[in-house]
Amino acid sequence: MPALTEREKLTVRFGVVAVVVYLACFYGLRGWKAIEEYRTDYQTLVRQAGDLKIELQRHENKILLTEKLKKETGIDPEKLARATVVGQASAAIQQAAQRGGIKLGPIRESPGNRSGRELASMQLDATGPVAAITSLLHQLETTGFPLIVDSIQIDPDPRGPGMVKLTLRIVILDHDLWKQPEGRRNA
Amino acid sequence: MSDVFIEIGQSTLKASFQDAGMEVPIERAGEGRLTADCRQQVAGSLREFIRKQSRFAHPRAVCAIGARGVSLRRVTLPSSARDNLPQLLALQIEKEFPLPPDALAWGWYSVEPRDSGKAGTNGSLEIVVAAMRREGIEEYTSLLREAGVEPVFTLGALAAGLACPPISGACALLDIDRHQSGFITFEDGVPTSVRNLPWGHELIKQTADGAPEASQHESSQPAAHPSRDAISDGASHRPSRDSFAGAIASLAQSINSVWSGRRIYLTGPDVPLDRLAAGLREALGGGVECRPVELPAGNVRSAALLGLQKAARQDGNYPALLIEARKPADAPGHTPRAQPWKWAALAAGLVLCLGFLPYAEALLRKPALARRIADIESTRGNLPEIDRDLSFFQYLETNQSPYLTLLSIVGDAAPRGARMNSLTLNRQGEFSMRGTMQNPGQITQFRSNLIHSGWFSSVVVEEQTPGQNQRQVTLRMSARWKPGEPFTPPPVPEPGPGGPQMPGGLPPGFTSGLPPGGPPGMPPGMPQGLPPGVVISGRPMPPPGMSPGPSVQPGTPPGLPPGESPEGTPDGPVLIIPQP
Repeated sequence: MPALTEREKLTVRFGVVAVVVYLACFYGLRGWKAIEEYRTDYQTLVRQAGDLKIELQRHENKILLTEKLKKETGIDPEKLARATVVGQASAAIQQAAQRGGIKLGPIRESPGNRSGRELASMQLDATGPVAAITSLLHQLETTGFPLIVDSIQIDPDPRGPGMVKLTLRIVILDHDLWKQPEGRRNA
Repeated sequence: MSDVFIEIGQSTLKASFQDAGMEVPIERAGEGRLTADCRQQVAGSLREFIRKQSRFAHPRAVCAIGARGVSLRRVTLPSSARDNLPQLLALQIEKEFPLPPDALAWGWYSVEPRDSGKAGTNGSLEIVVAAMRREGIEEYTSLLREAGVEPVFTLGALAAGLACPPISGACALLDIDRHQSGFITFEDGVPTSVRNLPWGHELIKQTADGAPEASQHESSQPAAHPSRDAISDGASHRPSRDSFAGAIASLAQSINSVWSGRRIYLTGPDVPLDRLAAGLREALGGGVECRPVELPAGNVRSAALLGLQKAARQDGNYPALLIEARKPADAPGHTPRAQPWKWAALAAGLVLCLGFLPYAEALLRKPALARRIADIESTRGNLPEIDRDLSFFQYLETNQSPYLTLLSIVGDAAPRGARMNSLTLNRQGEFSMRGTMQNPGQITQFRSNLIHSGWFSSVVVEEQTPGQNQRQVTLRMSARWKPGEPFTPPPVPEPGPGGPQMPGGLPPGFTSGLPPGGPPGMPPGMPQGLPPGVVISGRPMPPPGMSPGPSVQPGTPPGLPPGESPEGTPDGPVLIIPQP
């Protein structure tokens, strides 16, 4: 390849500069539009992230409150199976009564009132010392099952001093009703 | 990659590349510069030569230049100067040479190896410096770049010394070219000076042909391949003894004027070295030893090229002394001039960067942000479940009735001596009880206490019946407790020796039969029983709305002493509220 003279080199340089300028003008506009669009998308994402942040902050309190109530009641909603919750709750009540030295009488189960979001109701008689009875009343709230004491009746027990008879009506809530949409739940 | 070795002499350019050699004549104009035609011819020939050997090679060129215009100095520097040696050398060059370092192309090497940088015996550095006008090097550089190679330069006479046997002591090397010869002197292997002697083997040829001696500079058209036969010992062109002796004498005179050593090496192509050594030994006199260094037969017809090849084969590196046309910025004390266009370009670049920053943020952070949002969106489906669970728990919490608190309040409200036979509470807010009071005034007090507790309303004494002794009153009462009332636990008293007790603890003399601190499962602070003063006795109470049955507890002994319970009563054990 013959060597280029200075004039030829200058011509080549001018040509290169002209081509670069042309390419910059032609493709630069496209590139700028593309990058501007990219930036617009990014800003949209930033706004979306801000909205999500606000929404999550709103739910953060709910999550904390739910966790607190879970811990207090010992209820894990995910483990509540509709088919077995009544039996498990009955067993838990009986165990709590036995631990407190309470003698249980007949236990009667009946279907719950759906409009009251009840799965079943139980009626049971328990006889024992006053302190054990009050302890049982308290433990019913922490059995790990959605129990609501509907009514209590306290009568003296003829078998000895300090012994009382407790008649309880307990309602077991149907957690599945909360999984349904609002309209169907109240139907 | 193999290098191309080039020797640029005063009148020829020799090159060797991959065992091939070439030689082209050089035509110089005034002041020794190459003519334009010569440049084109030499560059073209060299480019063609390299392309013939290797079509795609772009070799480096190790170029040996003649001694004309080259000055050699030995300088001594303190060993502490090793850190900024080039700058100090430039100062020394400015001191030793008539031209400033910017006007020179120069090179150096330490007498000791450069890398080890050993100090001399007195802690100093011995440096050999070679310098020449930078225009010469720049001219050769542009010429060789036109030929397609990137050159480095060294001193030809020094390179020729590499082809000789190991040099020791004080000696010299005479590298004979066509019209001029390089003469370099050594002390203990270190070059001390270099000269360009105006004496070449062409002079011997001219004396053999009978041409005038003084025309060596003007014979500007040398043959491309000078015939060795023309200056050999052939019978037909044997130079006359007198003219040969005259040429040798002029050479000896030049050498004697600059050197007084005892051993001299002779080398060069196309030269009868044995005869020349003998004649020079005789002409120099003084027992000077002249040793011819014969070049091996082949394409490489230069001691300098041979030395360069030898050095490359030995350590694969360039010769120690490389002459470079350094940039003025390398010079010491050089302060670069302010270059406004550079500052302007820098400012423009910063402005561009500033404008690009928002886009850079988008480019850098968008992928991560998009991934994060996708993750959050995927977990967002759990939020309704959390709402449902919370609703469930809130429903459960609001429907839990505070029965224990209500019992405690009822116990607190009951006057002393009162006795409860039955008590019913439900989550619909209904409260009913049946019991016995000491007198009607206690009933009024009990009702007032319930109302003032804030938990009860609509307190109705459905029935009160005086007893047979007119001292006790049997009553049946109903009320509504306020569902949804916030649960406020009663104040916790200081724990006693038996553990914490609530105001609703058992009266003195009664024990719950539970361990201190409360029954299992009961939190501290919760009532462990009915409050003091409350007695549950009598028969079960019927559900609300049904007939309460007999309103008087039969067989209840009136006025029992405090802490005693009636025994043997028909309705079983009865807890008696201690009388004050």
